[in-house]
Amino acid sequence: MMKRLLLILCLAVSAGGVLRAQGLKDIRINEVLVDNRTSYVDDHGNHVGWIELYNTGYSSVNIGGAYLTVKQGDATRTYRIPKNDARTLIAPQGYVIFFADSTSNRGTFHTNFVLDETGYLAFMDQGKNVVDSILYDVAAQQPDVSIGWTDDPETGEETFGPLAGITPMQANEIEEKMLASEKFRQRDPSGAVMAITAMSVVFSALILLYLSFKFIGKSMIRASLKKEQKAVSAMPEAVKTAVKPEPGLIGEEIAAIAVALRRYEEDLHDIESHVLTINRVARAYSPWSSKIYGIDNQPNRK
Amino acid sequence: MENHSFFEFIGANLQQFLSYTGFANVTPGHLIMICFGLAFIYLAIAKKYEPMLLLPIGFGILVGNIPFVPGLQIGVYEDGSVMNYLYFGVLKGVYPPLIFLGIGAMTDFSALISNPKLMLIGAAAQLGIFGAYIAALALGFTAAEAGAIGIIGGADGPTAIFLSSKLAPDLMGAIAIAAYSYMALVPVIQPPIMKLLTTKKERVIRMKPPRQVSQREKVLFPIIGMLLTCFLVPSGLPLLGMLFFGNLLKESGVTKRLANTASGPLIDIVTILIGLTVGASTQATTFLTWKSLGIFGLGAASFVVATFGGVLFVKFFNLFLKEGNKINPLIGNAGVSAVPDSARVSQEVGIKYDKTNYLLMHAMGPNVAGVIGSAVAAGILLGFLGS
Repeated sequence: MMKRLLLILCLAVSAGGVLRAQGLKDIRINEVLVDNRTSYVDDHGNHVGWIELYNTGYSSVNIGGAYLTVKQGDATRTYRIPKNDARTLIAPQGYVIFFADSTSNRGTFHTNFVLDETGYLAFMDQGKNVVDSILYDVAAQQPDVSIGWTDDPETGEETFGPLAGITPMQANEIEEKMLASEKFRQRDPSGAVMAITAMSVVFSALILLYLSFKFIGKSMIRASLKKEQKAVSAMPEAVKTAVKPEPGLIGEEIAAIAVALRRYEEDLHDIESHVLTINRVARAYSPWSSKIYGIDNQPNRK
Repeated sequence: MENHSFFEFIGANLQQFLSYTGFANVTPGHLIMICFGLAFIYLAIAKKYEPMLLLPIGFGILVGNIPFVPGLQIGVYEDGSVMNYLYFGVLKGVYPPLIFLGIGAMTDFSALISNPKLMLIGAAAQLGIFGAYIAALALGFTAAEAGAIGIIGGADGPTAIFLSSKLAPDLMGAIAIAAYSYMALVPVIQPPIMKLLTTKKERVIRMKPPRQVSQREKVLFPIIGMLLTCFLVPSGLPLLGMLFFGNLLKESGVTKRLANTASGPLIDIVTILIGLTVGASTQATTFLTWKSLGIFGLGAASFVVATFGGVLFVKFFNLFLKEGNKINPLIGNAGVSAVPDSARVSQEVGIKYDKTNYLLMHAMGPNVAGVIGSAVAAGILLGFLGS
């Protein structure tokens, strides 16, 4: 029992670890503004460079204990995100902003480094493994122009580069994205490609199931035959000849015989059970159940 | 003077009250929809066409088409109303997977396991979905709308609601009503097509009785089925995952209480909620449009194409099967899911030509394969056209 409990505990702990790591892998550096002169201000009213992290996943992720750095191995340029702050829990598809002002004593979201020194920024997990990193040219950064991930309007693929406008705490695409369905329609206006592809997938799924159960069915039949042979060989010779099935007896006939036997037995039971027993039931008197003292008695006029 | 103002006050109040009543706000659209609702209730009670679905939907149509002044938090589309809270389960696709859980817990896949080649018929009958998709695109519907309309051909109400809530929520009411109506009309739509496509000789083909399936196979089926289909089409997970989970509850033999709940009280509650709210979502203003008319036309066409697909596939498949192993093409129609109505149609048509040829159990194979096939198809459409 203890062993089993320990095993379950180990599995739960390791699963928890995996899930936690998996959660941090959903975090990416979404947008960075290196040279902030007139745009987004921090909670102290200052214009400083900032980093936007985005949770790409569909579950909340706590980034407490993870790291942000602009130079790996340099403790003075590596910021450990405090653990006991509820605000470090990023909602699914949510954002969080860190201000890179080299004044980490101002609160959880102020880092101990600035962004215009190294041209490198990384987000690392608790074990200091890099989860996401970016490289940028510090000299090429324009004032109040952020860099981040956005969809290429022609190819539809995501690219990292200067954005058309700053978008802290929101998606980087300012223009309306074309719906996936309409993109698909542009490539397949008649719907023929969809029909062929989808029918092939439906068939593949059911063919896979068919093949699996054809194989399983055959092996089950083989196994049951083997079992049957084994059982028959273990029987005495006299019994063997007695249990031989009638040739030509099919399932429906067996079912009909079974139903007939059952009905016959039920009928027998009905006839046999014509026994009526009448017993006198004696109940001891109690004033609590006496009709005389019942509250339903109507008052009599005398 | 005082009396005069008193009566004026009462008169103004009465006038205000009357302006809030349904009589003051009724439009011809409301009356038409109420007639639809009454027709559904009539079909459910008098004709016994899918009463479990048509009755709640029919009454829901009445509920949804009571005229009222907006802003009182009454209507299904008004934030904060009770109906809106219940409708949330439809809008976010919560109810259909729960119904699939119940269907899984009710369904016996033995016919399919004993003769797995019948699964392919369930795939062929999904042709109706994609035929309707192509036709809807040609009629000018957007790709997402066409996908949602196409799924009517899957002849599976919860799947249709699930997909339309994701791809085209505005059309969901019309799509759900079309799907359920045609499912109820399966005994009318399918037999002429089945007779048209088959010869007398084919209609009397006798199939081998299904072999007995062991419990181990029944337990393996939902596990392997879920893994294979969901690895291939992960977007079908909400439906397929729940369908196979429900079936595992039933077949495992150790969770009888859970299986009973899923296949009994749970599915009953969800059916009531889904039927009533889908019916209520068909408010005249959103339902009585040319688009709805198009959806009904395309829905009928998709059922026809699906039946063609299933029956013709069996005839084609028979070319490769040995004598004695051939499949009666009258079970091809059952691939459109609509469990168990389409399987019953196979039985009824088959028995007209051979009084001792019972096709029901054979038809249940493609019938339940159709449920899997339509859920896979919905997953594919969602994967390509979603977001």
